Amino acid sequence: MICYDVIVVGGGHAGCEAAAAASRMGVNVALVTMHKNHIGQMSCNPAIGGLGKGHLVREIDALDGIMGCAIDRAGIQFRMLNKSRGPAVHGPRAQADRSLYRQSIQELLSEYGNLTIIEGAVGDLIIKKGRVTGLIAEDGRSFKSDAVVLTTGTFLGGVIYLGEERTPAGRMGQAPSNILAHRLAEYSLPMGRLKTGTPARLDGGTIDWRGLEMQPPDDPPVPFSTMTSQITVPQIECGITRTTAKTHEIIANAMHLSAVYGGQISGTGPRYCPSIEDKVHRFADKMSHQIFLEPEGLTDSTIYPNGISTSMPRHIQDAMIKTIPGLETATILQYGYAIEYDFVDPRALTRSLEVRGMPGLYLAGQINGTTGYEEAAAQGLMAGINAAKAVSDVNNSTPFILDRADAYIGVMIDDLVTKGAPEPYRMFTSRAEYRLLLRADNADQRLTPLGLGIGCIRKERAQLWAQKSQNLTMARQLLSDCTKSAKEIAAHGLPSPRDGAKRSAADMLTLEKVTFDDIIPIWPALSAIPSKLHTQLAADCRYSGYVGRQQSDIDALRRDESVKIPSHIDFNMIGGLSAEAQDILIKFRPDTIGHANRLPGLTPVAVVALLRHLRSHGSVPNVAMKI
Amino acid sequence: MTKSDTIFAVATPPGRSAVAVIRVSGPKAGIVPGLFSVKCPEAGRFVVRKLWDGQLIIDEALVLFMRGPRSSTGEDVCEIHCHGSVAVVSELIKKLASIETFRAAVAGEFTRRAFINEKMDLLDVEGLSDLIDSETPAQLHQAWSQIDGALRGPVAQWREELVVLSSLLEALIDFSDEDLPGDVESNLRNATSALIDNIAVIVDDNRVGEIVRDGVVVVLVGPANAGKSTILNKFAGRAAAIVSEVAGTTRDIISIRVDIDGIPTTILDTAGLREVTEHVESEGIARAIKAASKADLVLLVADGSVPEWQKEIASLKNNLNHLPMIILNKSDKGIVGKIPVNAVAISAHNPEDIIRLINLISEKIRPMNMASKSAIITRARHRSALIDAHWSLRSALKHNFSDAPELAAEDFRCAAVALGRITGNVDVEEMLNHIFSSFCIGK
Repeated sequence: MICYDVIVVGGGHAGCEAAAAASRMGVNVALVTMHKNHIGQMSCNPAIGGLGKGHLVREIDALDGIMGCAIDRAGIQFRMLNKSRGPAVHGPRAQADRSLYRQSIQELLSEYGNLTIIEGAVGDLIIKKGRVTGLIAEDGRSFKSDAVVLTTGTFLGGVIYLGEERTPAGRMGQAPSNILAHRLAEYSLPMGRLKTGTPARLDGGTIDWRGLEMQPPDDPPVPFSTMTSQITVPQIECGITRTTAKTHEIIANAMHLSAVYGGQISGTGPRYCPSIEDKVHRFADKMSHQIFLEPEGLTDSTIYPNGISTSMPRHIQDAMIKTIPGLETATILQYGYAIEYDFVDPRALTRSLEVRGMPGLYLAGQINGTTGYEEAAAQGLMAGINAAKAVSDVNNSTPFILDRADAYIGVMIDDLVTKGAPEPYRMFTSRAEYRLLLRADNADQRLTPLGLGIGCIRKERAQLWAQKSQNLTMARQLLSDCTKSAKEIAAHGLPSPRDGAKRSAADMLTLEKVTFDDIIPIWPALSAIPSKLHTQLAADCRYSGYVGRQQSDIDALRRDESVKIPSHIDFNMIGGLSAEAQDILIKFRPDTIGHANRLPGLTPVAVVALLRHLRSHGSVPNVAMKI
Repeated sequence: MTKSDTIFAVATPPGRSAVAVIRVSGPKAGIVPGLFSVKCPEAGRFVVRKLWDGQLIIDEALVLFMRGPRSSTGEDVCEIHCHGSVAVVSELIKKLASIETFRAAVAGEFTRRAFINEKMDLLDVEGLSDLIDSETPAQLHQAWSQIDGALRGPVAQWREELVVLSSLLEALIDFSDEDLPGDVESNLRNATSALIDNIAVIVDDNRVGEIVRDGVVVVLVGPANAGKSTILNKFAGRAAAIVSEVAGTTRDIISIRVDIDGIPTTILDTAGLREVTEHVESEGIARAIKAASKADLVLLVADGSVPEWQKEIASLKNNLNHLPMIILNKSDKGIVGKIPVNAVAISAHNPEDIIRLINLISEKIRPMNMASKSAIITRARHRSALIDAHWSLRSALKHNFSDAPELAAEDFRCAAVALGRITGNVDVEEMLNHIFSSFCIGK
């Protein structure tokens, strides 16, 4: 039997990131996937990033993950969403050339010497004394390992719906993992069904682009990774069109034929990513819906019509498309479909993404009820790090946990393990309480030092980071050293109250709408600051007034997080808890008071009763209780 | 600060009284009787013993011992009920403070321990502190309605509205690349303004609820010979029920606490105003004016039977930031000149006049009190939370929702956190700290 330290199952975005992260941590890793050449495949829309998601990519990059580098090598239209707003809500996004992306991921993985890729379908886990110790392939081969990371995406019990057709599949044209799904159910993991959908793919050569609004890329494109100095992939435009009254009429009349509306699918779909049937049904008063026509590649004529995912039968999809301006004669290359799949209720996981009660088994990605490449990759990264950490230091391993004030990754994992996934979970900036601090522009400053602490950052990035940090320190000093009187500043046409006080360059950047371009003429010395650092430095100044307020909130959060709930605690023995509160606590076993405090349904009274119990039974030192 | 400390405090009001109670709670409470050469009584029993400091008798007192968890705090508790002499109490406290791991309790600490040891539930605590503190029936009623959630209703509703507003703003941020209706921003602004107004109505209630809880302060000012002390004494005799009498904290100001139509009222006589009124700068007047500036109602008393009263009143009025209620005393001797419309002429020696005056005072303070429904903010903590929320919402409106929606959103978040401080579902520790520091039983 072949042995590895960590085996990752699945070659999607979660699996790749998990395998790479575990390798960076220095352990021996195998990645098991059904098809080697599908590694890094984008199953749905060909884009990485977006609002909230872009933050995740930057954070993955800050921990030396591969997604940022891959999209920088494959992005064909970079756009910074919300560019006109404050930097905290900027959303880096890029459309990808699908095949370039896959190729980049595979290249990046090939750089890891201690990573073996194995083709095969996984049939079962090997479990000894409650611990996962390896897995068995459907063909009978078995592999031993100290930890297994499952990243099976939509493959667990996957079923594709296209009108009334129903095909077991993990994605179009690929078999699902039904045997594994059955086995997991037998291990009594809490499972549920979710669904998602994808639109038809069109032949770009058959689209009439004349008269369509075109959306240009940013110039210059801003890379995702701090390792990328410049984007060299050619940049293209996207088209924008809209549905018409005729489209809506066809959809409304065929509603009973839709797999989603025909009642065939029981799984819950995401509200923020509705099918076109959903949009027409639920927003009947909206006359038209926007569609982005996104090229899938530089050399590929396939167009992804973003905004009209559907599970209508083929002939309805054909009829629908022809009613859309520019698409009157368009040919469908692959029909849209809905896919329903099994997921594990993530409340069964600890915050290291390990299955509670099944040590050695980690889950990441859509199997945890999330949607999106970025969400999957971020979980893969964390599961990979934690699996490697656990196996390399069995006796003294503390999991690598990011909290809600560290990173969007921390927000997401905390949300998942406390609230579960009542619908497919997607990242939004609004999920992050400390949004002004957790920015895409400072992800490396927030997380790379933490990564260095656990050893998941390779040398090249470590050097680059150290250099950048030094530059930032110098730049900050310069910004506060450069001062001028209000009168002198006003002479440059900038707002400046005449109170006699001197203003520093940093002070000026706290004002809304004042940029580096405005202040460099006042203090030419500032031109020594690399322009790459401008966004981050300006954002730090802009939000400085809010940071103090957020910091006291963060202190409170961390105080609650520092109060650990012992895993052996008997919630039935705690006085003053309602039966309902006991049920919730027993079911979800929060590991800290902060965690308990965020569990839906648990009242403050119950949390306080729990706190009281911990304090009075001496399992927690009384230090956190300030008087 | 750990729970292994043994804490002590004087449980009765400071100053001279018939009996003073010293409470001690913690693992070493049982050694307290021994410190005074008294054998510790059996748990649950009390004994009357002489307390000794070496060869000297400090006092003869009642000593009570309770063994945790069957005690008021759940820990070992010792109580000494001694004579309410300042000297005795300070002697006993001095001794306790000298023992290692003994220390004075901080505000609310006995309650906090009772709570942690499951002697009390959180929801009880907040309302109970009012209940135990309550001195008058009107206060009692409000303490109960607090428990029923008089404030929670509107706050929960505002919080819900705030969630809606925040979600609109968040949509502008997180779904900026979708085609959102163009009127989201203007709707959001209008709805936010409406919410700000709603909160303002409740916040701007002249502190009604807190006045019922804490009582009002009425200050008597005026020249020395105007008869203020007589009026004060008559109040003490005539007011419906004297709740307690507290010795003056300074030699210049004498206070009594009375119940006027259910409102606990502290009446201060600024006895320092014995100097002539021309010397406005004099220390006594400055002190009186300071006391008056903190009062809810100022009674400006003058001797109406002497011709100087108009000059005296005009001079004092100029130095007050309150519009005082003007009382011309000694009407039995005949008032010199015309009585102003807003002034009252009385004779402090006429019981009917005193009752009339009490009724007038009651009328002045009652509007803040008996307008039952609007009196829903009873604690300074709640008021400060609502003011924070109000402030945050107004601050949110100062931002341009297109250029800086994230800053407006941060203000919305702060407003929600502030409201959460009332409903208590934001941060456990913060909530506990607020509750326990406003809760002062045993201290």
